[in-house]
Amino acid sequence: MHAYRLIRWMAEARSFALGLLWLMAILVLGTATEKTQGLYAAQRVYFSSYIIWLGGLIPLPGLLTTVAFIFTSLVCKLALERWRMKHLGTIIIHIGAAVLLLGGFLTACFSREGSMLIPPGESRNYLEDYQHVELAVTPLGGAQPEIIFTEAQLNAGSKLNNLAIPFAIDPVTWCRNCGLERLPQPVTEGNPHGVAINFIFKSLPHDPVEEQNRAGLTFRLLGAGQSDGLYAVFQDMPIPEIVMAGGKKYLLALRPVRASLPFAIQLLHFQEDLYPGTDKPRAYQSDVLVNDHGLLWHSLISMNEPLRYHGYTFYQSSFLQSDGEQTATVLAVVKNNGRLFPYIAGVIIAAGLLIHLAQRLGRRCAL
Amino acid sequence: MKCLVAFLLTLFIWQSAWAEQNHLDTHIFAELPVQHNGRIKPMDSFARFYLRTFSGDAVVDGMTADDWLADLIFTPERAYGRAVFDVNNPNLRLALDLPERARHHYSFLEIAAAMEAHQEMVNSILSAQEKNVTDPAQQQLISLYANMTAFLDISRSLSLVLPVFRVEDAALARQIGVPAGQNFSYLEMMRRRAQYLSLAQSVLKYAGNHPDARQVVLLQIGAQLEHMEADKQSQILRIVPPAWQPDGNSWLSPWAMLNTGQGAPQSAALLQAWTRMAQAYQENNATEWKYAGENIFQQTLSLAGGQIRPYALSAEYMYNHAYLFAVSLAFYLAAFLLLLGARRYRAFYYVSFALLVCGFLSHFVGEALRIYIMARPPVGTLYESIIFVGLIVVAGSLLLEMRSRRGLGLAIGALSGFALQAIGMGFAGGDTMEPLVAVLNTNFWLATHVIAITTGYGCCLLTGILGHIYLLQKILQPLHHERLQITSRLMLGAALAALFFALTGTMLGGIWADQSWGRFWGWDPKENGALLIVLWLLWMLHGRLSGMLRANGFAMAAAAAVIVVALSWFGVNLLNVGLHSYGFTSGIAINLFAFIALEMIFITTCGVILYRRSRHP
Amino acid sequence: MKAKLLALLAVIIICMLAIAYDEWHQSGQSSAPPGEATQHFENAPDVAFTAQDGKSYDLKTLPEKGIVLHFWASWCAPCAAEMPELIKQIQAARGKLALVGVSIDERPSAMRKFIAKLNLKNDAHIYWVWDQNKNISLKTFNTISVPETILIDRERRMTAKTVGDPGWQAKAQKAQLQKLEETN
Repeated sequence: MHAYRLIRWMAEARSFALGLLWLMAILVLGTATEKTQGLYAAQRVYFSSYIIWLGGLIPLPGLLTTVAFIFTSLVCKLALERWRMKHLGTIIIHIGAAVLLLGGFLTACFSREGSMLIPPGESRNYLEDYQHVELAVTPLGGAQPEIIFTEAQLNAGSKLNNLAIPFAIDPVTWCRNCGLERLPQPVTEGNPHGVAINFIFKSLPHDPVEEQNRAGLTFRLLGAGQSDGLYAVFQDMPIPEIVMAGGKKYLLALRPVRASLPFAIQLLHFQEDLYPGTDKPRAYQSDVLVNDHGLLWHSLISMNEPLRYHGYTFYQSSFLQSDGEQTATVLAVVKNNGRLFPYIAGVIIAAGLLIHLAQRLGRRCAL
Repeated sequence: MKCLVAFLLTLFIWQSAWAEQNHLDTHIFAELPVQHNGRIKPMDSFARFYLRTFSGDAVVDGMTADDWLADLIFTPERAYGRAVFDVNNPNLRLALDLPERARHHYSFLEIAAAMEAHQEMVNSILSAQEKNVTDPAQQQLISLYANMTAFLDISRSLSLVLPVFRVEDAALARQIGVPAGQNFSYLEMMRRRAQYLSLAQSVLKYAGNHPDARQVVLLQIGAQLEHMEADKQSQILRIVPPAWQPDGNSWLSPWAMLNTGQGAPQSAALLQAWTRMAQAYQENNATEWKYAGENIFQQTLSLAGGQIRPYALSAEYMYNHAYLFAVSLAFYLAAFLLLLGARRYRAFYYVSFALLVCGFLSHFVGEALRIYIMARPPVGTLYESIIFVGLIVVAGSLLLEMRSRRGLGLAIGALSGFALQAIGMGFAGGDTMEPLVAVLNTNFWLATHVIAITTGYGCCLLTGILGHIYLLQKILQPLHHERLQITSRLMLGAALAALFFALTGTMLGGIWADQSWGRFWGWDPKENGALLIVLWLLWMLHGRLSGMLRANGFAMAAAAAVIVVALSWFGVNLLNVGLHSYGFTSGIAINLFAFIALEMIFITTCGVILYRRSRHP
Repeated sequence: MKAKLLALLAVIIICMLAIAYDEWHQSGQSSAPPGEATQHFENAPDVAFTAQDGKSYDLKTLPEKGIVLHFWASWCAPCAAEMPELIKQIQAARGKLALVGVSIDERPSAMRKFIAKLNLKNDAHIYWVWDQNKNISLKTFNTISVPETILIDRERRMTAKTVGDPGWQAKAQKAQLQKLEETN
């Protein structure tokens, strides 16, 4: 009985209006913080969350919860209401809206995004996600797999070890965004190596522009015999940190989280077209070759024209110009199984609108 | 407003003293193609751009932009003394010891002398880091210096073909190989460089203090040649299409063409034509001027291949001179003023209607010209969106008026048309027809998504205005039930139209984003703004349907829609984050907040009054 | 009730069809890279000159298939480096290419001294021209600095211009010269 009354209440326009009002409030709040916190942070807190903690104490429904509420309200209304022919247009519109919200949900849960930076002539077969970092231990000189420690593990601060490597990593300091500070005198105790000899890391506030956050970790290496001691690694180190242990070399690197692709992409040539006499970009395009286990495919990725291959879509996002060297391309990659829903929903809603318009013109009634 | 005044001034100046002295038809010069800021435009637009940048005006010293530019490139020595540079910061004028004048316009020579006198100060500002210079007077100094540099650059553009050399002595002239007693150009001089050098050697060897007339002339030529070395930097006036580039789309200035070895027989012929034009200008020879101008146009056209659309150049010239948007603004204002008297004189109503239609036509033709000139939908920048929304609102008001002939539509159309055009003028600086950045450069999505959204903004504004009108009518004349009903119906219709366009536009935007950037929705401020409008309209309409909102509440919500549109349209540009951040900020913020505050006060007051009335009838 | 179930079924079928179509339609689209735009070449102008052998010629009526119009001067260092290489290419073409070497030297004697130093056999396909008053270089071709080379093909159209010394032994340059001998 109570369930039925709940469904009845959800189906009312009042509930929908309530949900809408709160949705608008979240939108305004979230957008206002985008300036100070940056797009990704605001999105994480307001738009991709189930609960928003106001002031850190008061729980409020996040966007996902609110949209779920609206979706349920919509479905309840569709289920409970009697369908009349004269409301055909609006019914179809509502169905379309439900499909749209469902698609949005699928995207929020199942889509994968990343970027690829490919220097000219080179090949890449993984995506990078700049929002999170990982510590990768790569055994050199062999085809052994890499060992990855996630950001969560680094945040936890406990000792990191793995059966595949002969040593353990004991974190000393960890910062998601670090500044390097040169010490007045080199460190003498604790057997420091490399960067750890002359520098320490200072934690900086999180930069709203994700790509500018440079993670850094200082740690003690244990169980590697002579190589034991204090080390420091940071993101994008110019000289990689290589450790000798058990007769083998291991490369330790902090890098954005990688997700591997089932194929590789090689950049043949990147072209930037500027408006003559200005530095305003007119068009960018990347001439690429896809290598899918020996199957080669040639394509051109440009602004407004992505490459769709095996469920992944590659977009021309931007480029990187280093002094004197040729330009490297930056592609945005998305694998979104819910990609189609907005299109389907759009068609349904458009059909509904047309039918509604036709009915109104036919009857010329008040609404 | 400035444009309107300028337009009127232009009409008068046509008969001014300057025009009388000069029989040359600047129209030919004004339509010559030049490449600037990434696109090909008529000389007229180029001239206006720089004259406005330097002086802040469209007319200076009695000369229109075209006259001024012709004077600058054909007779630069005269141009250096004209007061063209606007220095409106009083602290800067003090710092440079510039004499006070009514219009604070100063000439190149005056400012150059002033900067020279305060060299150390000027250098210190120029070499400082950009973020350290926060004083507006200092910032103006930097931009003034940049303007002076550009001015000098443009003035030297044609120096290689201007007849600046002269040798009177017949014997000497024969020795060098140039015509005696006649002016000749740098290019001509360079052809005889060998001969000149061999003659000049003897002067250099001469060590005495009294060089004879012949030696003096040789030394003068030498000095002139050396002085012109600096002209080689001149590169702003790009009038020579490239002859040797495979995609051939980067034009060159005459000096740049010569320096980078891009010369070709075609460009040599083109420079010849410019030489003749310069000569015609200096001799004030109208027929030669016309002939040379046509020659230049034909040659540039054939050199440039398919890059130039000659009718687009004439169209832009017409557009520049017609000030169509200023004209429409005047019509809108006139229509509104006349409407005020329509209660007494019925004729005023009809005249007002006609004026509004005239304003709309002028507005429409202006937009049509823009579409033709730029070859894309006219909705790429903030300025363009304001003009377009204005067009939609006026169109909607005219439709409204045709349905209910009570003058309501006229009032809304005239007032909002005027307001939006006036706001638009504030954003009309620089080159309003600049080509779009790569990410926007696709006509299909501009035509569909952006137009749908801006139409949505327009309809939403219309809804909001009707909401205001309903509230005022309800408070001031609550017994006019029939009229209230009509307003209410119109408000509802406008809201539905707004929802349709806003929803369509937002969905199309999502699809564009999916096609180009990899995600349907990115929580970009602009996207959120568009969504906010859709949600607000949805809430309003569902509230009305379900009875949550009655007539008054609906009207208040409709009135508040104006705030939502303002936030979504202008407010998001202030945030300057995300993919949509191609607007700009500064003074907008204050105006925006003031507007929102006023609106909220209005709506709340109306709400309170109506509430109390319903309690105590 | 029936209508609602039908509607739900319809929506599910539409979604499945759309996904199926999308999967089938995918698997790598490629947009073909834009083809090279057909270039428009200008005809070379009429240039009458008197070569060092004393005879008069016109650029358009030279007997060789392709013409290399080369501006140079004896005082220009890159020209000195470039000239022997260029001549070698011309000689390798065995009469199919002509070299019209236009010197912008102040005096014809400087030009002659330079040519003498090259130690060439009398090559009928190399035309040395002293550009008095820079009629050819500056007046006709707007050339002010050297070296500059303009390639003219069989139909006497100017197909390319090189500023400076490109290294005439390089593959690209050899290919360019090769093209001049062919008809289009």
